[in-house]
Amino acid sequence: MATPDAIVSVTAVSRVYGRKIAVDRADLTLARGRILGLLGASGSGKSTLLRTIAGLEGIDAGSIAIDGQVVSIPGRSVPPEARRVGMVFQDFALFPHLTVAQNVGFGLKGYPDRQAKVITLLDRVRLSDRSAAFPHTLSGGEQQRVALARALARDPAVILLDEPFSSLDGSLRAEVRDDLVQALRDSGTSAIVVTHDAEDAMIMADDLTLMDAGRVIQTGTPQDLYTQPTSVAAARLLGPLNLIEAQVRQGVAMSILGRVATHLSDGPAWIGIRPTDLAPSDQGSGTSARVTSVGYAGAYSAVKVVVGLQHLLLHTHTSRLAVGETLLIDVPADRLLPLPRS
Amino acid sequence: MRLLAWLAAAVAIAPLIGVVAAAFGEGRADIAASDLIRYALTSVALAVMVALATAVLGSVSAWLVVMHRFPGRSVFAWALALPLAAPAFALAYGYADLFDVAGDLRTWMRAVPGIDWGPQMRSLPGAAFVLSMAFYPYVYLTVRAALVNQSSQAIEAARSLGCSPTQALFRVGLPLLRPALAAGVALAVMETLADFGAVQFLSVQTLTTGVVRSWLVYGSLESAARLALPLLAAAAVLLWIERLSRKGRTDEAARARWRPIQPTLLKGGRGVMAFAFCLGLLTLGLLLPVGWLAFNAIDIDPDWGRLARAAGHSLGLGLGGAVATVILATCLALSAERMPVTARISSLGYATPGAVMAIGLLAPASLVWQGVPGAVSGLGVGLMLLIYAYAARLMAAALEPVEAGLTRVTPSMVAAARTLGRGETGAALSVRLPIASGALLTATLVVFIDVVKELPATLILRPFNVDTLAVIADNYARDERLPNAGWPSLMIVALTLPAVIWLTRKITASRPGDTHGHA
Repeated sequence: MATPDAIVSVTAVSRVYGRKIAVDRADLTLARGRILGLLGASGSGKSTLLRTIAGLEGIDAGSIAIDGQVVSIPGRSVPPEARRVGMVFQDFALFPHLTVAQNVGFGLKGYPDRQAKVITLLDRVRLSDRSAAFPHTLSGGEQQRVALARALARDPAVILLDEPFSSLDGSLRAEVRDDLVQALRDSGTSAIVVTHDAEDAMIMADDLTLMDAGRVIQTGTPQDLYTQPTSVAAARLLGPLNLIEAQVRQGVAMSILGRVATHLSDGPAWIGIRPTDLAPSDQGSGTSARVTSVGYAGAYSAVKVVVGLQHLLLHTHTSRLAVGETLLIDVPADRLLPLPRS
Repeated sequence: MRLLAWLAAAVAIAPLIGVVAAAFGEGRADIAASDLIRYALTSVALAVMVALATAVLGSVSAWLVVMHRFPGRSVFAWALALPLAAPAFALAYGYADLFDVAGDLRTWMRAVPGIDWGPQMRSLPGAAFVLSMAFYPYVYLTVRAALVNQSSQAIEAARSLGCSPTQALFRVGLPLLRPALAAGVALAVMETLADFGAVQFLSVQTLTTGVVRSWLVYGSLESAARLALPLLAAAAVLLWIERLSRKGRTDEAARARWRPIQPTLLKGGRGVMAFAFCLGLLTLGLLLPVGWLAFNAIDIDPDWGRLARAAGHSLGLGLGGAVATVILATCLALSAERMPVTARISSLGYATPGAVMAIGLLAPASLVWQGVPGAVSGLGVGLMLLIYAYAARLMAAALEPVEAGLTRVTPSMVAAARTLGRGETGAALSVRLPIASGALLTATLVVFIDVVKELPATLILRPFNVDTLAVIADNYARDERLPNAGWPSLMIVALTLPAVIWLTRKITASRPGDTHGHA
C-alpha cells in the first residue's frame, strides 16, 4: 500500500526458491529522506528482500514501487539498471581493475559533467586524495566510502546497503558507521540498511523493520520496538533477553518476577526482561537470587543467577559478586515485557 | 549471449554425435573384429605403461621441487613443464634416430666400446617411453599445484597426533594428493590415446592410428567411426575421473586456512641427486631428443620456402583456432552459472582425440561439399572446418582458465554494475571480461600451443595444399627423411616455447588465494 511520501513501497512480496520461501508476504515502506533499518538473523530473508527492491531478483507475489512507479510484479520486473537505486554491497564489490575515480564514475557513462561530479562525490566522502588509487590499496573504511560515493553518483531515489559493516571490526566499525550515517544524511537520500546487528540498526535507522523466517514481524521506531516488542522473536532481535514463564488472567500477566498489565488473552505467556534492566538491589529489598556464574566483560559483568528454578542473566556494573553468593535484585515492573507464547 | 553459449555447446558436441551416427550408419565397414580388439589392446597396454611412468616421474619430481630445497630448484619448478612445448612426434623422431641401428650413436658404440645394443624404439615399450617423457608434465603440474595448495596444518595435525615426518607424509600427505595424481594421470592418458604422430612413426598400431588410416588409406568413414567409438567411451570415463578429482581439490583448497609448507634443505649428496634427477628428466623429456634433432638438422639445407609457408599456416591456424575457441568458451563461461549442464557437456570434446573429432566432422562436411559446388577445393570452407575441429576439441581446455578467471568477479560486482546502469551484456563487457583478461590470454595461449602441435585432425581435414609444420614433419618422417623432419619439429618448439615458458612461469608463481593463476 503506497503512502504519499513513500519512496519505496513493498506490498505483500513473496520470493520462493523451490520449496523454500525466502520472503513471505512482506510489507515495507520507506519514507522520503529517512533511513530504514531492515533487521533480521541470517537466513531471515532480509537480503533477498533488498535484492528484490534493487531488481536483482524477481518476485513471486505482491508488488514493489519506487517513487510512485511500480517496478516489480510477479513475472515482470524493471531491470536494475533502469531503476533509480544505488546499492552498497556487503563486500563493497569495488571493481579491482578500475581506480577509485573510475569506480565512482562507472555509473556516469555518458553524463556531460562526469569528471566534476566524481570530484564532488570524492570530496564528500573525503577521498579526493585517493582518486588515482586502486581499491586493494585502500583500508576497509575507505573502500566502503568509495562504494557509497559510487552508489550515490547517479542520484538514486534510494540507496540500499547490504550488511555494510560485516567486513569491518572493532573500533573501526563504530567510526565507519558514524561516517556513513553522516554521509547519508548529508546527501539527503533515502536509504534502506540491511543488518543483523541490533546496535547498528538502532543507531543508524529512523525506522526499523524486523524480519524473521521470511516474514516482517514488526515495524516502528527503534525505541518503540525495543520497549514494546510484540513477539519473542522481535524482542530477541533487538538484544539479549531473559524469558520467564507467565500466566495471563484478565489483562494481567503474572510471573515469579512480578506482574504486568497486558493486552494478551488469558492463558500461558512469556514475560521478557533485558539483562541490562536487572540490577542488584541497593535498597535492601527485591527478589532473592543466587549467583551461579560471573563473567567480567570490561564495561559490565555478565552475572548468571537463579531465582527459584528460573535462570536469569544480569548485565551489571557491580563487579564484586562471587559464585554461590545470594543477593537481592531489583525487577522494575515497567521493564517487564509481556509476550505471547507462539 | 545465451544464444552464443548454446552455439558454443553445439559446436563442441556436434562432432561427437557425428562419430556415433557414422559408426552406426549403413555403409561399408570392413574392419575385422580381430583388428579392432588388437588395436584396442595395444591402446590399453600403452595407456597403462604411460600412466604408471608419468605417475611416478611426475609426482616424484613435484615432491622434490615443492618439499625440498636443492640447487636449481627454482628453475626446475617451471622448466620441468617445458616438454609440453614439443610435440610427442618430435620426441619420437629424435629417439628413433638416436638409437637407430645404423645411426651415429650405435655405429660409434659398436666401433669404440664394442657394444652392439640399444633400446628398440620402434616397439610398444619404446612408444611408452617416448609418450611418458612427453606427457609427465601433466602429472607434474597437477601434483605440484596440489602440494603447493596443501596446507601445512594437516601435516602438523598429524605430527601433533604422534606421527613422525615420514609417517605424516604417508598417512596424511600422500592420501591428500590422490585426487591431483588421478587428474594428472587422466590427462596424460587422454593425450596418449589421442596421439597419432608418435605411435604411427614408432610402428605401434593403436585405435587412433587405426582411425586415421581407415580414413586416409582406405577412405572408410564407417570403419574409422567404429574404431573411434571405444576412444570416445574412454574419453568420457577419463574426463569423469579428471572432473571428479578436481572437485575434491577445490573444496580442499577453499576449506583449508592455508599456510605454506616449509621445504626441507637437501644437503650434499642428496641435493646433488635431486638436481640430477630433475636435470635427467628435463634432458630425456626435451633437451636430448630435441637437441639431437637440431644437431642433425644443421647438416641439411631445408626447403625454406615450404617451411616458411607451413610456419605461416601453423601460426595462422594457431591464432585463428585460439581466438575462435576462446570467444566460444567465453560465451559459454559467461552463461555457465545459468546453464551449467551445457558447459559440462561441451567439455566432453576435451578428452576426445583430434582424429575422432575430425571423423565426426567428416559426415556434416561431406554434406557441405555435396551441397555447395566448388566447396571441395574451397579454401575458406576447409579452414573453417579445421578451426571448427580445433574449437570442438579444445573448448574445455579454454573453458577452464576462463572460468577460473571469471571467479575473480564476485556476483556482487556484476550486481553493482547492474545497479549502476549496465545491462547484462554491458556488465560482461565493462566488468567481467576486463577483470578476467589475464585468464583470456592464458586460454588463448593454451589453445594456440595445442593447435600448433596438432597432427591427426589437421591431416584429415586440412584443405588441399595447406600444410602445417606438423603435417610436413609427418610427411618427411614417413619418408624416413628424419633430418628434414627435424626442421619443422624444431620450428614448432620455437613457436610454442615462449608461450609454454610464459604459462608455466605464471602457473608456478601463483599461490593459493591468488586467483590470477589457474593452476
